[in-house]
Amino acid sequence: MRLFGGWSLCIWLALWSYSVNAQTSNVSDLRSSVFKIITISASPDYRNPWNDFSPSQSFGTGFYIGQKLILTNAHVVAEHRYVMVQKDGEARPVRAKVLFQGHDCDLAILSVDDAAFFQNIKPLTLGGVPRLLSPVQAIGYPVGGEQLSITDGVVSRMGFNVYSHDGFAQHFLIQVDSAINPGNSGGPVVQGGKVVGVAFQGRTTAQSTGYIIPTPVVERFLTDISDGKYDGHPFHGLSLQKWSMTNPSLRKFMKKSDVQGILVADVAEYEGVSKVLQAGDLITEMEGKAIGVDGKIEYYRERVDFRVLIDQKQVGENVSMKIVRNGKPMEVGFKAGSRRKHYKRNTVYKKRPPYAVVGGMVFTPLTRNLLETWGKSWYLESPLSLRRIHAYYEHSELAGRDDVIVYVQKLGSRINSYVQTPKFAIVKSVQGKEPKSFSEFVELTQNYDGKFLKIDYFFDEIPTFLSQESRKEAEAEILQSFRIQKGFVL
Amino acid sequence: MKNIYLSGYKTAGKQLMYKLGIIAVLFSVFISSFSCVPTSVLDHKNSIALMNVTRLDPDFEAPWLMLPPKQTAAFAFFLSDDTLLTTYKFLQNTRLVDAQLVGESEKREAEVSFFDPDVGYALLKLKEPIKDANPYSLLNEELSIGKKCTGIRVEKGDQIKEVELTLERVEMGEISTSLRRVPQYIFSGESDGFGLNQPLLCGSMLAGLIVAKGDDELTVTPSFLMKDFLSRSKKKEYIGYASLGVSTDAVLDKNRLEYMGIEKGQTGLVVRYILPDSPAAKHLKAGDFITDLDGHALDEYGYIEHKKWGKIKFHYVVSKKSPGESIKVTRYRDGKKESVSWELDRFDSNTGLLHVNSKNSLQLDHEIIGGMIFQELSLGYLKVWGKNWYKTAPLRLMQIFSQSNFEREKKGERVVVLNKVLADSVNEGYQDLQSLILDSVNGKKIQSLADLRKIIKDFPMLVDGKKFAKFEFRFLEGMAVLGYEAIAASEKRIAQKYL
Repeated sequence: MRLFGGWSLCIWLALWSYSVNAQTSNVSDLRSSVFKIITISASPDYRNPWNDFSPSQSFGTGFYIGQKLILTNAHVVAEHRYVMVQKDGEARPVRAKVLFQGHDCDLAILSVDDAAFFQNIKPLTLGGVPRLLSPVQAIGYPVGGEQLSITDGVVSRMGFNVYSHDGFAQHFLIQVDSAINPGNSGGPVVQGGKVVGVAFQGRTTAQSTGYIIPTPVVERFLTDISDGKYDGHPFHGLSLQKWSMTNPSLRKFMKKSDVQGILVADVAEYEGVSKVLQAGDLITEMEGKAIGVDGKIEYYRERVDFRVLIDQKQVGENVSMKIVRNGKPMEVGFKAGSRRKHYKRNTVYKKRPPYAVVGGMVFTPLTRNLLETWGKSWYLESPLSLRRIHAYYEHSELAGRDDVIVYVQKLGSRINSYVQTPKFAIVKSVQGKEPKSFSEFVELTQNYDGKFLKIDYFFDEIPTFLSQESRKEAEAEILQSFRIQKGFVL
Repeated sequence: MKNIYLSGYKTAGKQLMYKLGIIAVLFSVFISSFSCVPTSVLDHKNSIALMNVTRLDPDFEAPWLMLPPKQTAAFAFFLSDDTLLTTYKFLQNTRLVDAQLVGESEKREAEVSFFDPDVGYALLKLKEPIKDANPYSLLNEELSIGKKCTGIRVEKGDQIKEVELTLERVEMGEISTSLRRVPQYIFSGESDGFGLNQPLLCGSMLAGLIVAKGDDELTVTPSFLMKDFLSRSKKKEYIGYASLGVSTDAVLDKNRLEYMGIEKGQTGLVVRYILPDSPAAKHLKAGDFITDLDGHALDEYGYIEHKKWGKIKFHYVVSKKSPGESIKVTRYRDGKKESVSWELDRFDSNTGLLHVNSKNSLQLDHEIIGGMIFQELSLGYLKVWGKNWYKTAPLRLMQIFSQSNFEREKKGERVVVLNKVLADSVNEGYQDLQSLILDSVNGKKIQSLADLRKIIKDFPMLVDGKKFAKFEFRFLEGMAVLGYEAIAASEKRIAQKYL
């Protein structure tokens, strides 16, 4: 719900007052299937990774989809410690548990132990993808009121865009010209009595614009978890150069006469598509659909980025495509791959971030979460070296390493009082050995020979020298005095 | 805000320019209502001139254009009846200079006759000599701390006031036009009302020019540097200044000293980086511990002892030298102490991958190919992103700025940037490309605009007998192919539309 900062309540109320039309009676029947979700969450402090921020309470919406399951947004129950659901018109919320969370697609499944809770409640059914300009209604518990509310809107756009809960992954989404406010999150958006989307994010720069997760994404999620485990959306790692095929010189050079297809600028190392594509390839068709010079295909009657076709697959499913490489047309297939082990650019949701306290120096892997500790404008305010690795990891000195290990702070002690290494330096090697992952780093710092532990950093930052002997004495004392339970967490 | 520009490294130049800007503004507003020492018997009127300058700076965003002309004013002083000395920063890119004597309304034509960005001074020649000019003579010696001198303050209504100032300390500061380190005097006293390049006299001799001010502090560029500049201006060939070619870190970490095998009590600096083609690279390597320069022992922060100033950063020793002069350095390597010496190379302000833009330029060097504007990456270009350019300029360019000295392969290596694309049918489909780093053309690496011109001229790619140029951008952020025929056909159209 932090996603919706800066929304004005008055605008929302104005929209609300319009909500009288023929659909209303129909929509009212759905009320009993829509619940208020109350979450008490505590998120970790990435600068002091052994610590959490103090717990806070937030509200969202969820709805019944049958089989004692409630669908909502992942961000509604992110970093939850305690979750409750409350029926419309009932005084008391009941405790719920989170069964699945798909952070990349911002969907989650909850359940309630008390079987009586779902008695006489009809599950909502999923519909198709609504047409542009058709009316929809968002049902939910937006901020500022106790009662369920229904907002009218119109489908205004469809696209393949970033889901802000993940911060990086793009999926199919629908824009509606009705306000999606904090608290609306996770609520159903309906048309003709069927759910056509899940309200999930708004936009701070444009008023009365809300985004909903369309049913193909919801269905993909439900299929994904049907085996009891959420694998997530496949990843593509493709950078494209839109419109370049409109250039007559380029077409002559590539010996392509028709204005069609999308040029691949870069392929990041992921499972799946990166195994078969290379920079400079021209993709002309995917799954039998022709790709335009803008990289779009026809998808649910609209033009949408062709990568949606990979994104909508389950990990391991086959994808077929036609490409042109060095002037030669080829047909290639690949299996949709999962997210890689290497540095990921998305926000992570983990109860405890990995860290290690080495001689009072705190190390942690770089994450978007760490960067976000520099505030809303972290992409301008965080240290250049970290921003740079975040943006250009594949082309940086650290390419191929699973983790980017950052020295975040010093817990003052006599043993480290001479350490000159500046904060936020990035670890290059420990005792001359380059750790590929954070766990390897921890191992190297725990077991080593010699009088001193020497840590070198990227970009010629001043190395660290810790005396092995005084480290043994000091470390327990440091943990105790700074009230840290464990010296490291992997 | 006390002399910030002296302490930082890369922001130093920026700070200085900022301060000079402020001083120029203050000067034009003229603050006159402060109490000060009464006018002395000395007549400075024919020693100082007010320079009115019209400058035309290149537009880094549109390199074929110039920014609107700017008028500024600052002081210069007479060296002879037709020659004046002033700071170069103030005269860079000037199109018109007038000299106006204090108390006179007549504007005399002048022109820049010699300048040196490395030391930051320029000479002006008057078209007509001034008969009763009263030139200052330059003090060649270094002043002692505590020395009391006189700041000459020209005020509104051409009142000349003398203000007593005391030499507080001497620091190694950076010349904004070259980032070379030189000694700078810091005088204490009433700083209000002083303008850029107002003189500082010790006795009747000129001891320096005021170049920046803080709270009750004035930064003064010393006259002994001007003496040196003048003797260089008379030589036929410009020899420049010496460069050590080494960057260092202080070692305050006792564990590190022990690890390196340095005996207890021995102070010095550790070598962090050496310019790959500097002569120093033959004698030093990263990780060496240097303990003295030409017999001057380094303390743990890199200061040496100066007989008049006390502690001063070791760069002082280098600032005194010319290229070709030798330097002797004692270094520790693998626990062994050894003395090495070599002949110093010439200082080059553009030694990194980034232009400092020290030259006087009519127009920025650039190349437009099929509407794609290419230019070499420079500080001026990064500043196009505004006041917070070091945050808002594209990361791919900032990473070069942040380590501009560290990844250079050869001397003169530059980064060529695709600034933007002037939309035309020739570049359809590429018009979104901007601020990208040009990596190669037709598979050949580009390390300067000259490389680009040469490859376009001599190494086209042939497809079906037709010539093409394939531009590839760094980090695989895009590519573009243009046919030579299409480029040639577009030139006139683009020139008519944009240039």
